[in-house]
Amino acid sequence: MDERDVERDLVGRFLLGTASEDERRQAEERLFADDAFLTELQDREDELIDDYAHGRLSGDARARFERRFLASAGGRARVAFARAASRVRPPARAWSLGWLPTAAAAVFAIATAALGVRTLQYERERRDERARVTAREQELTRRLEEVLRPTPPAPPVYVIMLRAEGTRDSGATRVLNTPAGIESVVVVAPLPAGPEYASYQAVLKTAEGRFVWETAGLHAADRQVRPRLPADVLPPGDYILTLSGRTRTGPPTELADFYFRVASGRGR
Amino acid sequence: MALSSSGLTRDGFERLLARLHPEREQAGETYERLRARLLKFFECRGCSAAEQAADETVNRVARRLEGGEVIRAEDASPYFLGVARNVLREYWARPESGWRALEDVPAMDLAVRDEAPADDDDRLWACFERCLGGLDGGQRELVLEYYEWGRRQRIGNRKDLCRRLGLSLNAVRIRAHRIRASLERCVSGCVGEDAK
Repeated sequence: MDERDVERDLVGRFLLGTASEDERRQAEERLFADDAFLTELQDREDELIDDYAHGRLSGDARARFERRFLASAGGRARVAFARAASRVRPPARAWSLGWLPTAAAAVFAIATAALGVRTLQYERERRDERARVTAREQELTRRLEEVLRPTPPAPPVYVIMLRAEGTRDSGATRVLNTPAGIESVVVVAPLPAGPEYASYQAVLKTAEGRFVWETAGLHAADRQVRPRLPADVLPPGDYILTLSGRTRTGPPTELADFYFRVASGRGR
Repeated sequence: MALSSSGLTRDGFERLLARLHPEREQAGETYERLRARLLKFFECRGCSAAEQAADETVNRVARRLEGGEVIRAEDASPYFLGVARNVLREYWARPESGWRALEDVPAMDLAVRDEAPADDDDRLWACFERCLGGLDGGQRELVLEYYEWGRRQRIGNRKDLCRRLGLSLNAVRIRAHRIRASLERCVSGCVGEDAK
């Protein structure tokens, strides 16, 4: 490992919270004193986020990353961005030598045009710099408005786990006591044994069969689907959540029913 | 500990900027980097309300300056670190403030939050494409080549990129991160608009 690798390793551990107390204090002091260290840290953080979105993190690093980055709205937005970026199709690389004569001609053309290009580059850099200054001014004004505006608290979320064996008569029906003031409820529904589908849909009905709410386009993670319901669709009563799987082209296939009871409380 | 942005006046903020640098342009740049440092400090300490904590730190320093306190060192950054450590200690000491250390957040809660329906992914991608298309050719090329998005494994040809641009690795990193940050802001704004 060369010096730069050692530094990068330390920054990675600092970001994921695995640096020793001594290393962490030193890193913090450098963070506030050394511009190059801040740059290194931002660069390594971008890299970690991309690694996560591209599925290149595993095990402990992945778990630590999730604790650190998925706990805040800002972190989740950055991960979502990287997930979109991971869909970029990288350019193909061709390694034939057929381009050599063309390249020779291009070198000549570039050499003769170099003087003009330098002038254009200078103009472009000046234009970019002006744009950067304007953007910074705008950002500063936005920050000023932000710090003067009171920050609303994050809306609370209630997470419930459903059991596959929960039926109306089995005695295993899940009973929920949703606390007052919550905005949404995340329902964790385990998938039954069988193949995975491209996406899933969840339909919520009352025990009497009255339609309440539905959502589609869900993805499974760890053989679970986790639809998020607005809390105000869940007044006290008995409910059935029906989970269906969808292939890319076919109709939905019903996979499981989950029975649960909301005993008290509701959202805001 | 009240972690709100209240208590910071425009005058206080202007005074803070003036302390950071006599020229407003430079002061703005220093402030941005200082706020980035504070965010990283709190995030790396596992504070799930890093933005609020960073704002609280800035507010406290601004209020002290308003109250006549003088930061003697030429570079005010270490002073901010000292205040940030106090804010963090208070956060640890007051669990009833509602903050939770990341270690205390159930993994399930976090995993749930990472889930995004396929529709959201498509909207994100559309916004990403639109924002990427809004960059000028040079910026687009730089950011794509630097971050190597879409590749299963990195090739790591940043030295070539630096050579071609005639810039040091550090300069290329700063430039790439700036472009990425503006792209992230653009995508976030675009997704927000589409959701309305």
